[in-house]
Amino acid sequence: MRLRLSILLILLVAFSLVASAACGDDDSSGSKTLTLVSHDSFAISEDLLKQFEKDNGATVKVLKKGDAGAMVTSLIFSKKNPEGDVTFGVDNTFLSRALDADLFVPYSSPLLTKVPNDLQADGSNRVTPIDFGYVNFNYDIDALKKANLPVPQRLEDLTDTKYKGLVVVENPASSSPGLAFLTATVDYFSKDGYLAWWKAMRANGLVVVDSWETAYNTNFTLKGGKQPIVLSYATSPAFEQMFAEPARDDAPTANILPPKGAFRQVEYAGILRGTKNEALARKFIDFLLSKAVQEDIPGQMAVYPVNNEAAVPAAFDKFSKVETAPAKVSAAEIASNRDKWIADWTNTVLR
Amino acid sequence: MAFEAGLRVDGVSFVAAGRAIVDDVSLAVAPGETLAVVGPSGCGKTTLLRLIAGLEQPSAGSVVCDSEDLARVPVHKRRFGMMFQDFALFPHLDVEGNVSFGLRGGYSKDAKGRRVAELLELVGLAGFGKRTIEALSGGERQRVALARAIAPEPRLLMLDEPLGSLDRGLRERLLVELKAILGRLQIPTIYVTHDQFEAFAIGTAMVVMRSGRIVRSGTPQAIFERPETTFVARFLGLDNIVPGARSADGIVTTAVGPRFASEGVPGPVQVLLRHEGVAVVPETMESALNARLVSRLFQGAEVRLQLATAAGPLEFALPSETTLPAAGERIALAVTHMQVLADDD
Amino acid sequence: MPIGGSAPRQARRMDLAPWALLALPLAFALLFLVYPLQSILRESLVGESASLADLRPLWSDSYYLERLWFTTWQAIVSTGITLALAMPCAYVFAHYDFRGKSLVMAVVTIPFVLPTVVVAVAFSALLGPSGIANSALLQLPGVEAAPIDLSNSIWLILAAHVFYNVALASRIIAASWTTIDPRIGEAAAILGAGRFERFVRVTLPQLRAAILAAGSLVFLFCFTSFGVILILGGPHYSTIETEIYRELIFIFRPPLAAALAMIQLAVTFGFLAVYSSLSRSSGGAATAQRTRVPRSSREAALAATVIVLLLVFTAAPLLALAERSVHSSGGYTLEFYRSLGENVRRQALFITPFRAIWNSLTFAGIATLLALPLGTLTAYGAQKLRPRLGSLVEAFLLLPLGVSAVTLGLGFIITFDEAPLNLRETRWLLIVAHTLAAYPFVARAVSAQLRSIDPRLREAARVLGEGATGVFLRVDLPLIWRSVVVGAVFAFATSMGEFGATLLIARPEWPTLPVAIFRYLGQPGELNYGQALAMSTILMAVTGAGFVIIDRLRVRQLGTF
Repeated sequence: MRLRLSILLILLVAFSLVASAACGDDDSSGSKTLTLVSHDSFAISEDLLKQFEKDNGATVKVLKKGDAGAMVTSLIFSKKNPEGDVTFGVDNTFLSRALDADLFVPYSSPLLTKVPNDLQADGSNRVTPIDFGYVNFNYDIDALKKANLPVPQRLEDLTDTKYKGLVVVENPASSSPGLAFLTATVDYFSKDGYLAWWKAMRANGLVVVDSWETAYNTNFTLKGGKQPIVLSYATSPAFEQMFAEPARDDAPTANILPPKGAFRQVEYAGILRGTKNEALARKFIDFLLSKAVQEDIPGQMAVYPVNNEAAVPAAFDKFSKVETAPAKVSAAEIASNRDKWIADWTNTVLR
Repeated sequence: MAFEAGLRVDGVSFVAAGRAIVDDVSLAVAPGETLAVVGPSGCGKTTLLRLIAGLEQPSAGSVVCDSEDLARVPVHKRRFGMMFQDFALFPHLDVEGNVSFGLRGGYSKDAKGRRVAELLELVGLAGFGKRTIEALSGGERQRVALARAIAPEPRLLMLDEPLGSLDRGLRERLLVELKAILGRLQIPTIYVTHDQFEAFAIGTAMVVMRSGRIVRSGTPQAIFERPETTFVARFLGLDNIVPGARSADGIVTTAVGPRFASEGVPGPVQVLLRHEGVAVVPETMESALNARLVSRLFQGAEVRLQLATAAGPLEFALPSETTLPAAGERIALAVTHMQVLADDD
Repeated sequence: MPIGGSAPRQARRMDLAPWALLALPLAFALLFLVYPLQSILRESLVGESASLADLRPLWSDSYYLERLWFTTWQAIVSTGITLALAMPCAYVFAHYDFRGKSLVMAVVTIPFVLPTVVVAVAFSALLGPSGIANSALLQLPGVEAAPIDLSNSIWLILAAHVFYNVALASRIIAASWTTIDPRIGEAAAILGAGRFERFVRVTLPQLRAAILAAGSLVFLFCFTSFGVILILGGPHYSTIETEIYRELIFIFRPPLAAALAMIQLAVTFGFLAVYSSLSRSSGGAATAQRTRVPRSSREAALAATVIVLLLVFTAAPLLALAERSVHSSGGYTLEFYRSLGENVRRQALFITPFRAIWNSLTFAGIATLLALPLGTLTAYGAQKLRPRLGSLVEAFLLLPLGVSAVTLGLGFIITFDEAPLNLRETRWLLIVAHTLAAYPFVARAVSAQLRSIDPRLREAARVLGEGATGVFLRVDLPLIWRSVVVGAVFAFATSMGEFGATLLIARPEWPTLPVAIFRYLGQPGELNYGQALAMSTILMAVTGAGFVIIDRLRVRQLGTF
């Protein structure tokens, strides 16, 4: 037994040595390092990132901090000694919180000329829009066909008993698409009317879950769930076709496009106050706005580019038809009303 | 069948992994009797107790108590008492909790308390009720175990090496107390031990077990006086066994000298020379045992002699006042108590 | 001549001061738990972005009191059901040997490491409207609608908590059950106690320490439950832990989150202190019993029934998940596995499965090796203190069980950001987080067993010439070994599945399996979904293999001192 224990002890020591040796690889290159703080969904092509590193003689490190909310909270708490130089992924539902905390150094990228004005957050350019997407309903084409149901045309249609128990949405109190859509209904039905619609939806068997992952991967009929209509993103049908297994020519889902039934989420990048690499951070924002990156991220992150010169994947045009007039609510309006909307919504739908 | 009080075991066997641990054992114990079951470790005594208790199911045979066949009676319905080797006291209960564990039905809280007090008094532990088991000495644990076993007034009491783990002085004192208590209780009792002195002291009857079988039964006295086989003799501590030969005219001559008359088939035999009843004689005497005195042990009333002989070491007892040669010198003894033993080693 | 001096020194060394044993765990907990927590709580309550008005809902709205009540009662009920189901399993594990036992024990322990999102998928793969169970039932004549309806409900929360914890409870109780002297039960039988009475009056009291240990772990797991509540329970249910997350991340009212985190910590501490003092008073000598093959057909049937039921409950969802990972809408395929190693979209920061497996194993291995001494020292040191003080110290050292993971993660980020403790950019912070989550399991498992070691055994060993270390190695360790193994298994599992604190401190250089799974689950498309399931299946397999290996680590001379 002594022998055994000493073996165990030796293993322990060896393990720690290997581990600490492996840890020694930090910052060994000597070149500049640019640290990007982002959310879990950030993705980009390797070639493009390598090119950026090569062009600027720098290494890019990407820290992922959970979802957009977790990322913003983490940035706010660590702002005295920020973990990174630049951030990507704050969207218009969280923007005011980040701006209030004064996290960013303003930067006006020359490429902003190619970005439509209505996508820009404010005049001071504290953050730079990089991409946008739409939160809207998707439906399972086969499931609706099998149940002999027409595709709903307006949000009001969903309160019809035909669709009883067939709709799943995310909780606005815990999910960013949920909050986005709640905002859209406030805009469409007006502040006085939106709760009546939600009340009718509740009576019609609306299913509420806490996260997009649950709604899409568990409740949606496409994944073996019970609801053929799910609150997701406009690009989801295109992704279903692009990443089908086995490959297919059409998409199994499509968008439901009721008037003003979608909410446009814009994602921003910003230079973090306290960075020692501000010049490099600026270059990185220019890089994110460049045509090459703008054409890359749609296929990586299921979003639309803000640069009007950038093309989107063919599948986007084919399967992800987009709402032309989404609900428009400003970040400031969201910030000041969010708590009340959520509280009222919770009382109407959940309690 | 007429009612028969007490326990009867008929032809009980227990086979495990193809081996007979207990092999065709029959015995009976009546109220007031204490049956001592002795044998070397591994002879099946503990298993026999477990079979009687119902902790194991016999492969064959029956266990009957007060004329009731117990084949279908589960352990907890047998109303037996048992003291385990090392006592198996409940570690999570205090002394009182242990003793009162088996008191069920018909006992009010007061009656229970009285009964526990009475039993603790009986075993000499009055006032120990609230002590934890951890705080007890070995002798005290033994008493608690006894009190616990007899508390529910069992139909049969089984004691498995109850003094085995205790030191000698304590063991002898407890043996006396135990015998007194058993005498008062008049419960049929089976007392398992590997120690012949305990068996002699406590048993009103005795069986000797070997490899799962009973090889000898009788009163302790009868068995001690006539062990009959080399195994029983050796087990009882009668080690002076030497080879000998019986002539056609019925005279047995031992390899160490002494001779005596014994009827039987002529040929080689094993002879037991009893320790006692020897006397020092001149070396020239016919049929004297000639040996070298290795050592002598003064033990009060008697002195024990260790001798080296042609047939190996032998031991005898003499009155203390006997004059003896010095250790290392030669000695001659006249041996009077000799028995021929059947050789079953 | 040093003769005069050597004897007393020897004596002093034998009398190991409890504080010397506790020094290491206390230092670890102060540095990596108290220090970051006080930083983040202070920052939340009085920091720049804090507004104390945010605290008002705490007393003005009965909502939070309701949350506390719900959190507590669902934890109590979950714990009760878990323990009730764990008892028969523990009995079988402790008494019988059968072929494939260590595999069975490994399989039933796997749920413990699975991220809740994956468990949700597994449950739905088995019990959802088009899951395996409903599909099979729909084949039966007369069955039209899917008979099993698995919607968000309190039952689903309870079922998931049991699913996660039944193996933990079974194993802790079984480890203790093996040390019960069977003659004590026999003595009770002879004294007239029937099967049920023996269980209640003899077995249960002797298992008390283990049941309390298992129960307290399960209770705290459920009390601080996050993913299960959020994902399986749905928005109608929330616990203190999910409220902390919501307030901190989504609503952003840090003072309220901090206050809730402190309430959760306080309840945890109180609970642990009471538990710890309750479990002190049981004694009884431990002897290592040997398990055996079931003897009669009745025993075999009992053992088989329990094992089969346990497997159906725990392994069936896992198998359904594994089945989904090789099943696309086009039929059976290994495409999801094949493509794991292929960077289809040529993404930067692509995680290869081998990288993730290697990182997960390294972290879990190191965390387990660190947790073993920390947990064992905690158990030993606390036991040697005066009872009341010992309970408090033990409760304090077990606090990682009740700490809000997201709060601690934030605390790490703002605390270990400067020299000399600039751990933020090293993998050590992750390892520390994993160790912190893991060592209470070792402490808990060991202390349950420690109390039942007969002190005379140690005394005997000393008389026979062993020093303090020798006594530990040759007496204590063989007797507590099973519990150490149980502790190690769960320390390993906790680390393999850790996702709470790591959410905020994960580093891109060292992605772990759960991190990889989340990345795939976060995107639409069947390939992504399938790859997430394939990665989950790999996580299950790797963890299961780890369990089997840990289980095999034995002290050969068990009980032969």
